[in-house]
Order: sequence, then structure tokens, then C-alpha cells
Amino acid sequence: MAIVEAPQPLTIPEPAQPESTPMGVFQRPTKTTGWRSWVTTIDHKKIGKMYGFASIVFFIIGGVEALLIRTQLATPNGTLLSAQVYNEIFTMHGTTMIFLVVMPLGVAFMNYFIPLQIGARDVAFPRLNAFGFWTFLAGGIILNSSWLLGGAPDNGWYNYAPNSLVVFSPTHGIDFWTVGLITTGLASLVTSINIITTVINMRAPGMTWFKVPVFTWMSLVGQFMLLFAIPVLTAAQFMLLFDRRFGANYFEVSQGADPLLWEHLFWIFGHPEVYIMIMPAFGMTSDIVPVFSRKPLFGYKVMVLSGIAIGFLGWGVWAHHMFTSGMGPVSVAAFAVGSMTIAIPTGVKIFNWMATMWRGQIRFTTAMLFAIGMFTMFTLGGVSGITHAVAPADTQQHDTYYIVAHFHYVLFGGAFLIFMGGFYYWWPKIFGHKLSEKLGHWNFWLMMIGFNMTFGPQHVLGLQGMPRRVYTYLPGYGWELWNMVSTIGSYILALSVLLFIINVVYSRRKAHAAGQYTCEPDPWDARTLEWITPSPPPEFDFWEIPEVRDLDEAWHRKYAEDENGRLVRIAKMEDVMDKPTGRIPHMPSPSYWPIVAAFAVMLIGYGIIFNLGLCAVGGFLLFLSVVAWGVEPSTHTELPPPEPSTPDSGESGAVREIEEVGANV
Amino acid sequence: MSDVAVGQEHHGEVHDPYPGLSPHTSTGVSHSKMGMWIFLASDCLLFGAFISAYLLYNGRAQQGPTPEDVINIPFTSTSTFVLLMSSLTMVLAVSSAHRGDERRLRLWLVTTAFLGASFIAGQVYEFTTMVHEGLGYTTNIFGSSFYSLTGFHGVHVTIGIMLLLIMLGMSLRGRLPKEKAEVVEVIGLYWHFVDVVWIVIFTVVYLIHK
Amino acid sequence: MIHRPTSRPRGSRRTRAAIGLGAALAAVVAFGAGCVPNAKQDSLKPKGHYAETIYNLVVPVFIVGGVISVLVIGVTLYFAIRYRAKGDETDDENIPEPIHGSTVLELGWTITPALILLVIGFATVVTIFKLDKQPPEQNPHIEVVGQQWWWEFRYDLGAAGTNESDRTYSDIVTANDMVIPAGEDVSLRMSSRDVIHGWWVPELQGKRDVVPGRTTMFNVAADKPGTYYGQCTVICGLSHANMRFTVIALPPAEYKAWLEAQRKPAKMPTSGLAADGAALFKTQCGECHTVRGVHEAPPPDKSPLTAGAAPDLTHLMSRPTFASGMFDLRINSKRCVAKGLDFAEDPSCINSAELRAWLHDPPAMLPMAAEESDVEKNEVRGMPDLGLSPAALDQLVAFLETLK
Repeated sequence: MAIVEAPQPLTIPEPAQPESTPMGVFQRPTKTTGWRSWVTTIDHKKIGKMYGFASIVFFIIGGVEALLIRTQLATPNGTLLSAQVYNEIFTMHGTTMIFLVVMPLGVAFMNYFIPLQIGARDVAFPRLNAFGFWTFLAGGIILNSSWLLGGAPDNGWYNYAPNSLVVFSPTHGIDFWTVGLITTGLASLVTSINIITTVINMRAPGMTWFKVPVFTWMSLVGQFMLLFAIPVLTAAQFMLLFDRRFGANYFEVSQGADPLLWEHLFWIFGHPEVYIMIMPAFGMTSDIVPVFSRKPLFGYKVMVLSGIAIGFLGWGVWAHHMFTSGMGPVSVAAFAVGSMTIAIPTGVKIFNWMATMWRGQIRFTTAMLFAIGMFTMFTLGGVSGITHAVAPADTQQHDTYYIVAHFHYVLFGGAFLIFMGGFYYWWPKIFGHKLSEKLGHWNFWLMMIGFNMTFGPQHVLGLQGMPRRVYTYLPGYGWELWNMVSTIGSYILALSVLLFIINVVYSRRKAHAAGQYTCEPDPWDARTLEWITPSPPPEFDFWEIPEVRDLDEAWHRKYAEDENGRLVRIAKMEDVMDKPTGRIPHMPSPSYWPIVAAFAVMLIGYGIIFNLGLCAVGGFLLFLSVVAWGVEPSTHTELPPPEPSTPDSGESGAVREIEEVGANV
Repeated sequence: MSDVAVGQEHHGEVHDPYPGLSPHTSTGVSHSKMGMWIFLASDCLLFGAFISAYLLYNGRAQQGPTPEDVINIPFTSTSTFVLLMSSLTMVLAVSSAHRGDERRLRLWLVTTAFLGASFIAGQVYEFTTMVHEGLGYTTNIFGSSFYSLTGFHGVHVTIGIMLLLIMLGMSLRGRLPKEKAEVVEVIGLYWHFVDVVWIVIFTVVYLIHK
Repeated sequence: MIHRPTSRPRGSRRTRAAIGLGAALAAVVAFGAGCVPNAKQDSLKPKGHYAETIYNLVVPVFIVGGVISVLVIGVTLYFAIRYRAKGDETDDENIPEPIHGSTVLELGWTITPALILLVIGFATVVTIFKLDKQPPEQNPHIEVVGQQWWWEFRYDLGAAGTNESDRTYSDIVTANDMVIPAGEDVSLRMSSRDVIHGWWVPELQGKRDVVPGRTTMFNVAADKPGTYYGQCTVICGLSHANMRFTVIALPPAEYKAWLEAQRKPAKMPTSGLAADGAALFKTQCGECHTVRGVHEAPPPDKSPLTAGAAPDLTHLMSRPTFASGMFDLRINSKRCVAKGLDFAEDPSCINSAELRAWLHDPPAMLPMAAEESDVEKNEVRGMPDLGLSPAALDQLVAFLETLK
């Protein structure tokens, strides 16, 4: 296929000084290249890339923690890690993977592709978007700086009270957990407001609700869940923080407090949280399987509605994490039945993906392999989940390696595998070249083997009585064999991740050496709207906001039914893609304030832990930066008169069009 | 057949993605207003969690003052009334903004901020009295859950007052004309939310207790 | 070519194959689990009727799950192979028919799982209530108390008809090894002294969390006499992994005898090393440990880090393990194990060396938060290093070995 050279995004010249002095002290930054352009960017694509990069870095950190765990547990009476260090490592592994990898990786894809899928130029609140990223990064830094500042949290990712109180956890570890996650929670909250407003308010003309791509739909459902779940977690974390820092009594048993308050509040967040993590993964699978089956998604409406159903039902099952807490048989029975109910809309999705493949023309690209891997492994994880819903069975399974196996099957086998698929699928759109398919196949198979070898045997270990969160175990309980197998599997898994990194670096070098910085708009013959843009898209996403007539709009521009009712190709994407119009939409300018405000939040965070004076400094800086953010010059400043345009290029000197691109937030 | 010609612009015209809809969004509601509603929905759950904790711990304090010992319903009713009145003045501010009456807008913004500040002042007085009567933050679970809940609400009110004063400043610099009335409206939404939350807290904490 | 009709429809043959494979999958897992020797905490080998009830409920669910998994993965693989794009098909003239959906299929694969889950759900609810039934009042009543990082067992020998609220659970206080009569349902009252722990003996019962500030009623039973192993399941700090216990089920007559023996106080030794050891015990260990008849430790107060809350040692030598079930007090030889709980009659069956090593430096043997400074502040979690000299250790061990 010919490589289509898309025009380079235009560098917008420095804006002229407006007539009146802006209330903001500083002018808005104008750099479009270099590190400053990244630090001040409000472009959803750049922000998406930063989320992706940060997530992979945290994934490697979390992965190293996992390898340490597995190495320690390869044999009984392991001596690699002390009990204290082990407890910190598994806590950080879980916290990192959930809050700093799976969630932000989903957001990375959402950030890059939701505007493109709905035909928008950016998200509704671009500066808030940037603030969300920098705040997430601040939270990740706060959390991981605990390693260097007195010790990491060591009480598990859900940190039950009262073991989390100062008297039992005297170091600052738990404070880093609390403050770090309040910070990332703030990022999640503003991002969810952003994405929800974007999807509701910025769909291209003609894109009614049932023409929205499933990835965007599922992401929207997940973000709604996040919107409501995060405040509950944040409240619980404030309660814990106040207990630890200011002597409050929320979890002080001697004062009449109830440790189950923490459990309930946490899991009211925690259960929706796991659906939040899997929702974009469901959506990605629904986008990818049809493309490589060359057939529309089977049951689009059902897929959307089942996602919404999960979004509601997910709120009613939280106490299945508490079956062994002594709640009483009525509560246990109610939550057991509820948990089984939610399996129904979930199972429906798997059958619909299978039916999409049925009678298709399946191309085994790496993305498709990962998608098939996703829903087969997710099935296994879902089935073990149903066995947990049988509450009496859960009293044997809970807090054992059987649970560890279950959630790794759904989170790694489900979410992470399809994120890998998303990388392979969307890489050419983002970077202008494909990842090597050959290395990709090796990546996939190695990952599948390593993953199943690591977590498959853990089902057996759990049923044989091995609890979780144990820094070691005694010989003579029958656990030696499967622990060793699991450890070997984890190393194979690590190798597969290394292979992915190698693929990234190798493919990039190869492409750039051949001078390839862009590629065709639609290398996969895909279906959704992002594929009508150049690869990579210009800064403003679309030269012209598309009119949407169909679900799978991009597909219907290329294919239509002939007089016999058979589908035939009517156009190449190159003919019907989004083309330059001769005018460049004026995008909102970059801004310093998001990163400054996020830095202020970070100062407040460290201040809460170490020095309340620092809190005051951070608070003041936050106040100033938010005010500056609010009053900095808007994008609708006076523009210089148009320069004479040259007849051919239609680029430099073109009349600049002023478009309302989102609220100036 | 897909028709690329549709959506083609005429030179000189701005491409309007949602012709006929004002503002030009899919729903006709501006991003700011939509975003504020969505934020307020999530804030409901923040308060919901603190209220639930308060209700769970109601009557379980092992020692120290109980609600009956320290709560002063007449006083708090008055400050509740003050806050409710501030919602009225907020409505008047929004209405002035929509009419372009910048003088009245500033008057009502100042009044709302003043009433809000009076509410906060009342709370400060009330809390100091309670502390003198033996209910500190760390005294028992009643103290912790009460002060945290009302404290979070107080922070929300304070942020609201700051927003009102910022809008006042903007108006004084001529930056809040009729076209920008929606800014006032969106902040008004926040202010009313804070008021409604107070009604719930007042009912749950002050009026209903064991 | 002669076309032979198949003897039965292909669909049903495939379904039977799937069921067979599903059962095989479940069997492989069970085999993989069961094939291992010494699986001391195997939940798939129930030895008490509560665990059996759970097992009987979950095995059919495993099989159903296995069948579903095999079906889904199998059919997917079949589709992947059968409908793979062949070279000459990928041109623009051979686009697969765009099938958008099928209401019949959607209803089918919604209702069928719903029906399966209905059956499973019904069985689940019935079992939940069945397992929740408390044993009759005349049955043994034991209080299980979790504390960082050991398990206390307190027996209430109140008469039948005693209200739960009147029970004091102080007639016999022991630790680490919970003795019960075989074949009888035992009522458990569960609580914690500090943080949340989890009590789990997989061969006999599911697990139950113990939450400080709350009590929960639970139950356990063993079909036959034997020793059943368990450990803590909720992360509770440094030695969570070491917080073990056993349940020792005795034949009813032996259990009665055990109760009688346990109720007797210890005898204060009057001469020799043991007498010196007793005196030393009172000063060095008495802040936390009780030996009825020799010394009563002050009662544990309400604060989470408690003095006086350490294992009652009155009949230490009747317990096969010590230090949270981590170390054998009874030498692990056939001869000594055969002596059951009377192993201390033969001093060669007492693991004095390990006991001595423990007393010499407990934090070196198990990770704990028991600094010297914490002892003074009454904030000890776990047993501190008391800096005992070798002579002191000799005396103490001699004394402890009299506590049969």
C-alpha cells in the first residue's frame, strides 16, 4: 500500500499581543516542539501518549515487584525478602498495577481515541485533561517515593483498618498510600468529568447514541462508574488520613468504631473499580474483533445495553468481597445472588464476540490474536468468578491463591491482553508506522504461555489451602511444585514484555531509518471514525468535522451494497478520508497552569505527610494557579490580519478559522 | 454512497458542527454547565459517604459529649436560614447577569458572599463553643464524624465564597458581561448544591438524633 | 463417494464431547491438587461435614464452569480455524455477509445462563442458611480470639441452656492447638484483640474473619479423630504468614479426659531448677503469661496493644506445637506422635532445644514488632527478647516442662 504523506501539522505562529492587558500575568506558552511543548500541552493526543508512556513505566516497576514476589515464593522458607519488605512489595505491586497501570492505560487509549471516534477535535476541557495527567503522575510519584522515604505501604492494596492505623503501622508507608491515591483519585475524577462531557456533548453531527463506537460507549459507562466510585474511596481515605494524622476516631475500635466501615466504603468503590478497569477493555475488543473478522460486531445494541447493565449492576455486589466478614446469612445470600446476576450481561458479550467471528474472514494479526486471547482468558476468569459467587465456596476460596488466580485472569488475561491488542491495532494511527507483526506474534504466544503458566497453577494452590499475602510457606503442605511452575511462568511473562519493548524500539528505528513518519490512514481496513484521519492525525484531528450517517461510518464510506444486496467496495479510504480544506482550525493554546496546579497538589500531599507548613504553601500555590488558569487569556484573542496566501499550498498564511473547541477550560 | 460533499464549507464561513443548536454542542447545553452538573453528581457521593459514616456511628460514642449535650438547634437554624437566603440572592445575581445589569450583579454577588461568610462565621462560633463544652475533634467518634462532615461542607462553602469574590473581581474589571452570564449561572449551580447538602446535613445531624 | 449419514446430530456429539472435556478439566485440576502428598490444608479433601457440604455444592459448579470454559474456548478455536481468511478470499469481491445480530440467539444465550445460574443460586442460598445453623447449646462452646500473631482458644463449660450473653469463655484457656471432640458440632464465638485476622482450617470448614470490636458466631466439626491444619488468612502485619494453628479432634472419651486434665491448675514446683524457673517466670514472663496455680497475669486491657494477652501456659506440655503453631513442641517422630497429647510423659519427646531457642530470642525466630522500648510502654506485639542468660533459660525450660 502506498504511504500517504499527510501534511505536517502546521506550526501556529506566535499570537499577537491583545489590545488589553490580559488579567493573567503570563502569556500562554506557544512552543510546539521540544520538552516544553509536552509540559504545557493540552492536546489530547499528546496527553494520551504521556499516559501510555507513564503507564508502561509503572508496569515495569510493578512487574519487577511481581518477579520479586514469585522469586521469593518459588521455594518454601524463601529468604530473598524479609517479611516487612515482602509485605511492602505485594502491596505496591497491587496498588501500582491497579491505579498506575490498568486505569491510566485505559485512559491513555480513551484520551487519544475518543475524540477521534466521535469526530471531535479534542476533549471538552483540554486544560483539565492536562491537569488530570500531571496529577496522576504526581500521585504515582508520591506513592513510589515511599520506597525512598521511610518505607512503602505494607497492608495490601485495600488496606483494612485497624491494621492501617498508626499504632499498628507506625511508619509513613500508609500515609503515602492514602495521599498518593487521593491524588490519583483527583486525577480520575476530573478526567471522568471530562470524558463524560466530551462524549455527551461533542459527537459529530449525525452521530446519535447508537452510532457511537463500542470503545467509546464502554469507556463512557466506565467513566460514569468512576465518577461515583472515586468520591466514596476518597471519603474513606480522608477518614483514615484524619485518624492517622489528626487523631480522629473513625477506625478506633476502643472508641466504638467499626472496622467494617472501612471494608464497606472501600468495596463500594472497589467493586465498581474492577468494572471500571474492564470496561474500556470490553470496548476495545468490540472494536478490534469485527475489523479482523471483516464483519460488523454481532449484536451492537445488546453489547451497548449489556455494558450499561453492568454499569448499574456493578453497584449492587460489593459485599461479595466480604462474604467471610460475618455479615449474616441474609446479606451473604443477597450479594451472592446479585453477583451471579451480573455474570449474565458479561457472558452475553463473550457470545457476541464469538458470533462476530462466525462466518467471518479472520485475519490473524497480532491485534486479533490478543483480542481472542482476551475473551478466552476472560472466560476462564469469569467462570472462577462465578465459583466465588457461590458464597459457601467462597469461604474456602477467599483470601487464597485461587482469588489471586481469578483476578489475574480477568485483569491481566482480560484487560491487559486487549490493551496489548490495542497497542498493535492503533500503533500505526498514533505513530505513523506499524509494530512488527512477526515480533508481535512471538510477543503474543510467549505472553499467553507465560501468563497461563503463572496463574493457572495458582487455582490449585488456593484450593489446596495456600493463603495469599504470605511472605513464605512451610514445606510439607504440597505447594512446592505449583509455586515453582508459577515462578517459571512469571519469568516467561517478563520475557514477553521485554519482547514488546524490543518491538517498539525496533519498529520505530526501522521506520525512521526508512524515512517513514506517516503511513496510510487505514492500514487494517477498519470500521470506526478514527481511521478516516491521516496517520498520525494533525493537531486539530479533523480538517473538517465529519457528517456521520452510519454506525461504522468509516466502513460505510468504503463499502456499500450493490443491486444484488452484496457488499462491495465503492472507494478506497484514501479517496474518502478527511482531507485538507485550506483552512486550519484554531486550537486552544497550550497552558502552564495545569502542571503548576498539579505540582501544587503534590506539595500539599507531601505537606500532609511531613509538614503542614508545606501544605499551606501548596494550597496557596494551588489557589493562585487555579485563579490564573481561570483568567488567563482565552483563545479568542484578537488575531493579526490574514497574510496574502499563496495559491498552491493553502497552508501558511491561510485565514485562521476561529472555532469553538470545547469550553475554554 | 457516502457523500464527501456533505459538510463541505463555503469559504469565509465558519463550519458549525451543530447548526441550529446553541451552544453548539450535541445536547445544546454548554460544556461548562454539563461539567458542573456531572461534578455535583459525584460530590453527592462524597457527602453520602461522610453522612453514612456519621449515621452508622450515631449513638455509639463510648464517652464524652453526645449530640444532645452540644447541639444548639436554635442557633444553627438561624445560620441555616442565612445560607438559604444566600441561595435566593444567588438566584438574583444570576438573573441580573442574564439581563446585563452589572451593578445589580455585583450587589447580589457581594450579598451572597457576605451571607455565606456569615454562615461560616456562625459555624466557627458554634464549633468553638462545642470545643469549650468538651467536644474536640479527637474526643470520641461523634466528634470525629461530626466535625469532618460539617468541616467538609464548610470547605465547600468557603471555596464557593472565593468563587463569588473572583466573579466580583472579574465583573469590576468588565470581564463579566451579559454574554458571559453563564459563568455566574454555573457557579450558582454549585452554590445551590452546597445549600441543599446543608439541608440534608442539618436534618440528619441536628434534627434527627438518638 | 458414499455419503454415510452420521448416527447422531453433530451438535449433540459436540456437546457431549464438551461435557466430557469439562469434567476432564475439573478432574485434572482435582487430580493436580490431590496428587500431591501431604496436602495438609486441602479444601478438596473435606474431613468435616461443614467442609463436605461446601465441597458437594462447589464440585458441580466446577464441572459446569469447566464445560462452559471448554465450550467457549473450543468453539472459538473452531471458528478461528474454520473461518480464517484464505488467500483468495481477501479481495474486495468476497466480503462476508454483514450479520448484525439475531434476537433469537441473544435471548437464547441470555436465558440459558440465567437458568443455570438460577439453579446454582438456589442451591447456594439453601446452603448458606444450612451452614449458618448454630450447634445445640449442650455442644462444646469455644471462643476463638485472634491476636498478632497467634490464636487463643477459650472454652466455656457452662451447662446446656446457658445464654450466649452469660458465657464467660474462661473455664479453659489455651492456644495454638484447638482440641475438640470428633463427630460433634462445635460452636465458635470469634473475635479479635487487635486487627482483622482470618481463621481457616480448610479440611473442616470455610474461613471466618475475626474483627476487633465485633463478635461473630461460627461452627466447626471433624468427622474423625485427627489433626487438622489451619492458618490466618487476612494480612495482619509481619507474621501473618506464621499465624498458624491446628484443630485436634479426639475421640469423645479422650476429649472428656482432656477437659478434666485442663481444668486442673498447675502445681507450683518446690525444688530444683524448676522452682527457680517458676520464680523467674513470675518476674520475667508474668506481665503477659498466666499459669493457673502459679501466676495470674494482669487482665488484658481494652487498648489494642495489650499486656497480659499472651498464651496461657498452664498446660503447655499438652500442646504439640508452640509459638503460633510454627514450632513442634512434640518431637515429630512416629513414637512421640503416637503418644498423642501425653507426649510430655516421656521427656525425650519434648523439643526442649527449640523451646530454648525461642525463649532465647523470639524476634530472631519469627518476625515481630517487640522492641525492648515497647515492653516498657506496654506496646508489645509479639514476644520480646528478654535477654535471658543461659542459666535463666535452663531454669525456665525446666519449669515449663513441668506444665503437663
